[in-house]
Amino acid sequence: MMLIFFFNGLAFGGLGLAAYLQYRQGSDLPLNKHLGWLAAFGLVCGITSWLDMFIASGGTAAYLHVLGMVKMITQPLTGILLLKFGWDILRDISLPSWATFIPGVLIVPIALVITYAATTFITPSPIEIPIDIWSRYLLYLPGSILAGIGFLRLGNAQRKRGFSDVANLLFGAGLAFLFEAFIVGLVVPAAPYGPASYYNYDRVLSNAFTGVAGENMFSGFTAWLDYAHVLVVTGLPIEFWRMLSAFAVTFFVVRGLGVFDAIRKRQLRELQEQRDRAQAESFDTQIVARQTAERWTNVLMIINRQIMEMEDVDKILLYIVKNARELLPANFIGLALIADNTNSLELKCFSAEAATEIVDSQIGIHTPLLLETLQTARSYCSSGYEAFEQTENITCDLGGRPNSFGIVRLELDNRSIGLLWATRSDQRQYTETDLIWLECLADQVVIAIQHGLMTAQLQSLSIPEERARIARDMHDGLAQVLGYLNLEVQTLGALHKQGKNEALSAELEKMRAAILVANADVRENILSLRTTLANGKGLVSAIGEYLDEFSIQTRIETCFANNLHGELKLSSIAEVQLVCILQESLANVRKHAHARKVDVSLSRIKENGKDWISLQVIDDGIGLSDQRSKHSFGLNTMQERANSVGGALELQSPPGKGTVVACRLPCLETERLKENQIISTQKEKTLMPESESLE
Amino acid sequence: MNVREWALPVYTILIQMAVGMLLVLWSLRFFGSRKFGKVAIDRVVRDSLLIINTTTIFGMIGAHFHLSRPYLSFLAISNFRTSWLSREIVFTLLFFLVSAALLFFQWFREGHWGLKTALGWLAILFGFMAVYCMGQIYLLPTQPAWNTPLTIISFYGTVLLLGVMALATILIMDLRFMEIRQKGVLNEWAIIVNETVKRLAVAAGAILIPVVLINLFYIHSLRTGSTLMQTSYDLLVQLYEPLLIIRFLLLLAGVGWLVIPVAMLKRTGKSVQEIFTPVYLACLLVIVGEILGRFLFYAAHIRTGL
Repeated sequence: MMLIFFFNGLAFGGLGLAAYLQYRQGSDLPLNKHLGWLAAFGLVCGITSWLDMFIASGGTAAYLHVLGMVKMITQPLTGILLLKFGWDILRDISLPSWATFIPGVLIVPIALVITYAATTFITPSPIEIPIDIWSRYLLYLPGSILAGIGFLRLGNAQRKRGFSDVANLLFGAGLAFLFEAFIVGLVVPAAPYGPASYYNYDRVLSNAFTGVAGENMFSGFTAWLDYAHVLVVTGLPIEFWRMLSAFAVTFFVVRGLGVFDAIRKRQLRELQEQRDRAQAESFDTQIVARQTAERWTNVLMIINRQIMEMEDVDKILLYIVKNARELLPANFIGLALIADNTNSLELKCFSAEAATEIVDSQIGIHTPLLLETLQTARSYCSSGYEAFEQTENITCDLGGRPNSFGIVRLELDNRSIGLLWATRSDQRQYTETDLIWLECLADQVVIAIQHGLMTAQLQSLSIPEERARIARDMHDGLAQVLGYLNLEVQTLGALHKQGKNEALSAELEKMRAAILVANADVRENILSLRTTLANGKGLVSAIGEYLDEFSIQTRIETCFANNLHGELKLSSIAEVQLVCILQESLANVRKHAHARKVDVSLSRIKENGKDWISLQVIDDGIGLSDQRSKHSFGLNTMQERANSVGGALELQSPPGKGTVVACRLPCLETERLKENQIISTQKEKTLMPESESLE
Repeated sequence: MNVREWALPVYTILIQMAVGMLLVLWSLRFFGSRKFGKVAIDRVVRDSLLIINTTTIFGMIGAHFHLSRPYLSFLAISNFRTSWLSREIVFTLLFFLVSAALLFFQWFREGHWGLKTALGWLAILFGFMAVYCMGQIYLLPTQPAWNTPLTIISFYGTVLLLGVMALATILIMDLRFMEIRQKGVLNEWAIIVNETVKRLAVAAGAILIPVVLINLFYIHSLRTGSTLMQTSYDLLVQLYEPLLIIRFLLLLAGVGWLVIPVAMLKRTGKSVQEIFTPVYLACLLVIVGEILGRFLFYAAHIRTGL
């Protein structure tokens, strides 16, 4: 018997310890938060069993009395802890709403049972007997039943989640607790009141109404409910069956917790792997999206740059359609404009696998879907269910049969001026994002066209201005000389008639000098008109060549000192203005300075935290004679040119000590420069395939 | 006490509790309708009426276990003119029938406010008559320990105390049920229950004092009474002393367990639904105390003569 008590205590102690460790470790099992109560129950139950063991081992009366007193505390405590645990795990399980009334329905029966139990304490029996009995009936029995039902329902819940291993073990734990309820909660010491008088260790049956002891009422299968019968057949006392029950409870609960933990860990690992994979995929997607956005942004910036540099509109449009085809990607990109004269849609340019071209001949666009899009004033993204008739000839027989297409309008001043569309033959439909990018390109097309128109207008406006300037120059220069020569010729005629040969020779010399001056003016104008930055040589190179030519024409020695290292960092407009200022300065040197030598230098200076390009033109001529000369038309023009690009021009001319024209123009800011660099790099990259293809 | 003997306290306690619950419920309906409106109050009292009727039915069924021949119980009403037992049965039946009619109207007929009010008060009147007859049964010269007006007074004390405690529990339980069913917080309902439970807690504290005093006065009257009454007194303070002490402790603890959580509702920030467990346990303790009191009432009597 002592061994049975020992193993019983060991089983429950093990249960308590395992539950406590699991509780400390934490788990996702809904049961986990209540494991503290199960641990307490197991430990106290184990202590109670070992108290039974010590009592069974015998000892002095005082010793046994103390053990009995302690047991009177631990036994009800065991029941209370089990009841609390059972109640808690059952509460966690979602019950139907009507179950709210169960406590209400049970309140009177519970009150009756408690009252009944209280009245039994006045019977003439040792106090530990009713404590033992009612601890079992009122605490252990309902506690075990609640725990049993709770475990069964938990098992069911785990089975629904797919944890069949855990479900089986929890189901086993539920059955073990129900068995525990019967074997520990119902089989009690004999007492002269029901139900302890009906079913107990001593198997005393009595009639419920008369209280008279009766015969054994069990037979057949129900005989196995008779403890005495079980004892006779098996030879094993009730304590043995309780020990078995304790082992069953401990085994199923501990094993169930362990298996659940293992499964959860495996699931967590799988989830972690899934999350990592998803993260990696997301990261890749982000990279692709970022790269795509960068490529689009770069292309748009290059287009902007081209527009700013007033490059040829056709070239810009070709660049747009070509890059649109690569970036979207598409088999065909079409750009059509509404013709002014016919008011019909005509293909302007296209990009297909075969070629990227500006269309010279008039190709009318009659695809219904394109015309509808033009009418509805909304961008169109294909769904894949468009009728063939709707999209007929959308690629102008250049891009194969399309399955997906995106169409955007070209809009200028709220007026449609044409369409830009992309098509591809695979099944992937264009997304809203693709359409937005296409709209961005359409905006650039419109801006390029607008700029082209404005440039043409400006050019047409500048021609009369330029004519006026040339006329003025001719009037001031060549016409004056020719007028003078006319007078000289008349003078020569008169002198010839008079036979004054010496005077005639002198006048001829003057005429020759005047012709040389006129010739120099004309040559200089030709040189100025010829000098341009548009041939891609660069500013420094252009200045060098200009100075060489100037020196040859004027016989004035020129010396060019280029102190710039690295990039010039000037905007294209500033470069043009710088060249103009230099030409004007040298023209003044030639005309007025009587200089033999002119030094031109380019350098970079830093002022107010900003970089500047400084141009100095120093001659060794006579200098400016009066204040009026310093404000002459040519000098004012130079001043205005410098100011127009944020620069400044200074003039120093002490009489007889030559003239110094110092001009400084601001360099581009760092961010702008970076932008320019990116554009340049991209430009090189994008131009590379073109050049390769051209080769 | 065997099963047959236990049937009597079950019956008396359940009927007294049902009468008490209806009285308190109808008072709530009467006063609450002025503040919260008739429709809202009628919704709140609906389920409680079902529980009151169920309690009455269980009480009447329980009474049959006391009879030797339960199937002939209907014959007990034949001596209405002479027997307090017959009168008790008749009035209990009337209480049940009227409250059942009230339940029918409350559940299946909207409106009829006046009729329902009248039926409710009529049922309460029959219930009080039943309790009065219940007390009169025990006023027997041969039972000196029972033969005192304090018996009837203590029965009415039980009516009020159990009525208050049980209704507080039922109202909270019903509120929880409705919230689970309707998947949301029922603001108006919760306010009604909250205010009612607060008042019921105060009422429970107020009722407990006279109930305890009556019981003490009853014990004192036994001590100073005839020899037989003194014998009953001796039984109470000797054999049943632990139970007597437990009874008083349970009553005090029960009412305290209702009053304290309710009083601390504001401080703890809890809703009335969240204190269901203490309120339920309070009600359980008071019911146990009352059943224990009824047990002592039966156990301590000494019969004189035949």
